[in-house]
Amino acid sequence: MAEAQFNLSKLQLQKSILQRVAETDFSKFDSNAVAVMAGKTREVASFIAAVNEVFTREVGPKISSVADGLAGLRKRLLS
Amino acid sequence: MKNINLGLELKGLVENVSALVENISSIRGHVTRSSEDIPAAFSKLDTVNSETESATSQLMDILDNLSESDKQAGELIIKLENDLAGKEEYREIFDGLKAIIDKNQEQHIRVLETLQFQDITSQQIRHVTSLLMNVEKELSGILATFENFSRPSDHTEIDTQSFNPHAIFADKKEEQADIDDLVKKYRHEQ
Repeated sequence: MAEAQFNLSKLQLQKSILQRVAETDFSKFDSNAVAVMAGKTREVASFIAAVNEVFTREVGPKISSVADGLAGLRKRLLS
Repeated sequence: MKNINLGLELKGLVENVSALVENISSIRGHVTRSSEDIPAAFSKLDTVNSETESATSQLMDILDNLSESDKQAGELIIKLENDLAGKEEYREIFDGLKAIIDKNQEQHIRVLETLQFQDITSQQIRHVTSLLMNVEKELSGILATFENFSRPSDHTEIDTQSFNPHAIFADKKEEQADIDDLVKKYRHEQ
C-alpha cells in the first residue's frame, strides 16, 4: 500500500526495467509459460493504450483548455 | 516463435508506457504552468481592488469637503440675506444662489451614491479570487497526485460569506431608500 501513490519518476524507472526485460532471451524458458506471459503482457499493454487514448482524447485537451484559459486571464490582467 | 512474441509484446508494452509517461508529463506541464499563472492573477486583482478603494476613498473625502463648502456658502447667503433684509432687489439673486447650492448638494449626494460601484466591484473581484483559489487548490491536488508533492498555498483563505457574488450596481433610489431604512432601523434598535 505504501507504493500505491502514483509517482512519475517511478513509472519511468519501471519503463526502463521493462525495456531490459524485453531484451531477454526467452528461449531458455518453457514455451507455454512464455505464451501465457505474452498474452498477459498484451492485456496490460491494451489497458495502458486505452488509458493513453483517454488522456489524448479527453483529459489532455480539457487540461490544455483550462491552462490556456488561465494563461489568457493572467495576460489580460497584466496587460 | 512464442519467445519472439513475448519480446514483441514487452516492447509494445514499453511503447505504451512511454506514451503514458509523455501524456502525464504533458498534463503535468500544463498544470504546473496554470498553478504559476494563478498567483499573478491574484496579485493583479488585489492591486485593482486596492487602487479602486483608494481612489474611491479620495473621492469621498473631496465630496465631504464640497458638502462642507455648500453648507458654509448656504450659511453666508442666509447671513447676507438677513443683513440686506427688506431690499427686494436682491431677493431674486438670493433665491438663485440658494437654488444653485441645493442643486450642488443634490449632485454631490448622487456622486456619493454612484461611488457604491467600488463596493460592488470589490465583492465581484473577491468572488473571482475565491473561484481562482479553488482552482489553485484543485491544481495543487493534481500536482500532488503526479509528483507526490504538494505546494502549500501562500494565500489567505477568503471567507465566502464576505462577498455577494451576485452583487450588481443599480442606480435605483428606491433601493438606496431601502438601505437607508435598514440602517435607521438598526441604529434605532441599538
